[in-house]
Amino acid sequence: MKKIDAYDDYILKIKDLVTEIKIPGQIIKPVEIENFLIPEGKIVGLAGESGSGKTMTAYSILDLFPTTAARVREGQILFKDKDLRGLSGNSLRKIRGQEIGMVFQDFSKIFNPVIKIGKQLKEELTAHGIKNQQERIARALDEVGLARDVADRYPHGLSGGMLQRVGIVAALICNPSLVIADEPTTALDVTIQAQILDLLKDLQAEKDFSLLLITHDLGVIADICDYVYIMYTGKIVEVGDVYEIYEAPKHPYTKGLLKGAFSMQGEEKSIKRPIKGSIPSLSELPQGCRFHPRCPEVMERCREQEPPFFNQEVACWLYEN
Amino acid sequence: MSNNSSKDSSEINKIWYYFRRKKLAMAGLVIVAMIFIMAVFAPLLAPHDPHSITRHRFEAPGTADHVLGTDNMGRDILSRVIWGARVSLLVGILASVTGTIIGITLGAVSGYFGGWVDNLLMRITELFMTIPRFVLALVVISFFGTGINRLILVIGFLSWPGMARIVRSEYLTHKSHPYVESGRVIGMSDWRLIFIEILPNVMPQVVVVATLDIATAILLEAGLGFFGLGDPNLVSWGGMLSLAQGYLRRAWWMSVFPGLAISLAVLSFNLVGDGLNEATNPRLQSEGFNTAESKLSGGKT
Amino acid sequence: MSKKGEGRSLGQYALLRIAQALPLIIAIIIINFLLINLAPGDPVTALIGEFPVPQEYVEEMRANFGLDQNIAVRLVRYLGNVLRGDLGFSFNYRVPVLDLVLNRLGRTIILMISAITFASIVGISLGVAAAKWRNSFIDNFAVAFATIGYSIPVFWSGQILILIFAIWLGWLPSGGLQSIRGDYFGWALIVDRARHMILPMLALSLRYMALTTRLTRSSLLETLNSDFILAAKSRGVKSRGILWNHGLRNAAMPIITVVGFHFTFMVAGSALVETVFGWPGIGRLLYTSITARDFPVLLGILLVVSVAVILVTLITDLLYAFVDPRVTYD
Repeated sequence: MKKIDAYDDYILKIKDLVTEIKIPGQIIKPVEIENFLIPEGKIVGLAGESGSGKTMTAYSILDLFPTTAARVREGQILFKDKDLRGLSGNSLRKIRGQEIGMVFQDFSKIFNPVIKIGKQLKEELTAHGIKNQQERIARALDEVGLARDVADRYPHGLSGGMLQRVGIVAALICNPSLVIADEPTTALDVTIQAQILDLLKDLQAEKDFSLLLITHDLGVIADICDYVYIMYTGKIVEVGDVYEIYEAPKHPYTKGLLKGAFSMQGEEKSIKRPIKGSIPSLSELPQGCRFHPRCPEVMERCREQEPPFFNQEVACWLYEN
Repeated sequence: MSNNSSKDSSEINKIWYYFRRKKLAMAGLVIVAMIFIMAVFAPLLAPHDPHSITRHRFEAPGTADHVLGTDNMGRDILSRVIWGARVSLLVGILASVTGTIIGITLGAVSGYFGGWVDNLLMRITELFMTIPRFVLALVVISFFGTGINRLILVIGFLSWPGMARIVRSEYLTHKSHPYVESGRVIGMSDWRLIFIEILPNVMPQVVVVATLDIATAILLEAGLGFFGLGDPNLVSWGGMLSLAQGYLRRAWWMSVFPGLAISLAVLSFNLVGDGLNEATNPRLQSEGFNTAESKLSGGKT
Repeated sequence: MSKKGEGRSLGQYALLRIAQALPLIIAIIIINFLLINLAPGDPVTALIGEFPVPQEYVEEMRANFGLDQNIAVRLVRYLGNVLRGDLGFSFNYRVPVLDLVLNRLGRTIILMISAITFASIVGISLGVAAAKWRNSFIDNFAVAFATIGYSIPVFWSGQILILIFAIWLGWLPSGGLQSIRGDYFGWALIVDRARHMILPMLALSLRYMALTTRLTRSSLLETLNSDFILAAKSRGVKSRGILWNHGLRNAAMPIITVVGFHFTFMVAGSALVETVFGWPGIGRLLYTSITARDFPVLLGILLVVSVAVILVTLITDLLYAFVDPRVTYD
């Protein structure tokens, strides 16, 4: 497979993105991404432990945060070669939903509990001036395997799996060209996880949108992604196509994550804690390479200098040259 | 136990730390302190005897002798406002204390034991929340006669339901905490657990509600006074307003100053209560930042 | 959680809530009964009031109430009397208490409904504006208004309104139901009465308005902070739609509950405001009956007003169940 930076067309290109959050007494930067690419029509994974800034990356793309304390400070977010950061509020609103759809982790909270599902979907269609709403909703529900009368029900009347299917409908109903799925299966039962994942894969193949899949579960990535970015404390530490990363991970963090991933599947149970320690707080980041206090292959240099991104592949001093 | 008390004092320090930062709450505290001083030192502060009738009737405010004017019997309004603080504070605080004692007892028993006891007590609470207590207070005092002790008792006995509900919900959460479970395991009696082990942990909430209850009790007392059911031997702000009603055209100052006094007293206790509530409730402490952080971390597990 | 329609229907739920309200009403009648029995001196005083009445009437009341019987018999008789609508006789007005109270009830209800409506319209608008433009001038104003308005006693705000609008500016009448010398008919009569109602209505609505402002603001802020609002934005829904369709709808529920819950405020407030403005409703009747020591009327008002509060609570509960599909009618 060719390298992720060797394509002609990209649906999304992120350059030097910095997102910051004001907390009492200081400002932290949950996202610092130098380069991030999603080739047209591909499925790209973004993986890392929780707290590594994956979700904040998704929020930064849409410029939509759960708190007013957070904002994108600098950088470019090129969607179809157009910088989203230069857009007015209303143009950006039109892109949300219509051009970029988002699937959330916590499906139980993403619909207003006192409004019927159908009405909430209509509201989205109306916002983008789409007609034939009834028919469109019925078709979209069909596509995800839901009965049409789901539109007449309230969110609390649906099971988790059904709600997440509705979540996918809401993300796809305007035929967006990019879908961001943030931990779409994490909150579901194991049996239903696979169904939802298959559904996403099938829909992607059928409708040919690009998909950014955010997850902490490398098993999920292996299942459906073409490429994967590994994120740690807001920075990208490694990127590659999925086979490459699974065959020959480079960054010690990736190696650790992979061990964790396999131990989850029960093959190498002996490894209890794949990576020692836990992710540092963004307000107390270590000097040098941010991963060095937890790294099994740490060198003297790692404690002092932060590694650059070598060969457009990995940010680790082991791979200098 | 020394361990326990040092924990308590650090808790108080923490609450004070947050409370101090709230300008409005501090302003409320200053007003409360001023009303306290007025009430305690009324005989020294008041320029005149509040009861002495003079021939300077309906004197407008602004004269050197009667800064806030005089009423229909030539009594000094300023002195009466100062003395009135005594009744308001006394009734407000003691009625709130009475209500608090009843509320804590019923709420704690209800929340701790649960079951049919809880069911019964909550039904009674509901009944007392439903009865319009101002009207009930009016009827009871008309029947049994007035007097400051009765005012305190009647208002106190009518203002416990809110406290009982909040204490109950606190006990419901506390009773399954490990410290209570382990107390039970080592054989502590229920009463010890209720009043010695759990109660101190519920106190911050109790103080918040009790402070707000003082404000409500002051309003209730003023209302009763306005209906002519205040203690006839004491000067009360509500009674002054009742008197002013008949002379609105003649002497606006008879209404304006005692009314301001009631409003300020109620406002200040409300401000202190709100401030305490925010200071004791970590969720409210710094709206924006804390919620932002918890939301961001909560979103990705 | 069960879906609406699967469990009880709204109608069945309403019946259940009415059934639950009945014991409350009985309990209130019992409290009235206890008050009569605990009253100092002769309980007959509580039944008649302090009026010089013929001795035969006293004896008749004694027998009727069953003072020669034991307390259980008395209670049953009393319950029977009350449930038949016999709340005693007012010697002050020389009419049965129930007639007197019901006769005045309408005027109080008009005053309360207009005050609640006015307070809700202004309070909700102010609260929405405050939440929408958070930390702006209007937000600060709304918060200040809510805090201060909640602390001012209604009877004092009534007096201040009289001082400003009736005495100094002379725009509106200072009290009463209608102009004494006015000989108005039809439309003119309505206008005249409305002019008399403006000030009492304003005075009565102030505290409620403060409460609604505060509640709307905090409830709306909380709703606008919730995940489904973020999700709706991610779907490109316009912010106006978010405020009206999502924000207000969800914020309405806590407002309904608390407004119903604080209805007892309104009862107390109305008694005081009617007294300030000489508005001939229940509150004014309460005041005159206290002065005249007309105890049967006092007890009758307590009973009628308590039942009214129970009914209002019932209505708000049902309204809530109607608005919120999540309520499961248990």
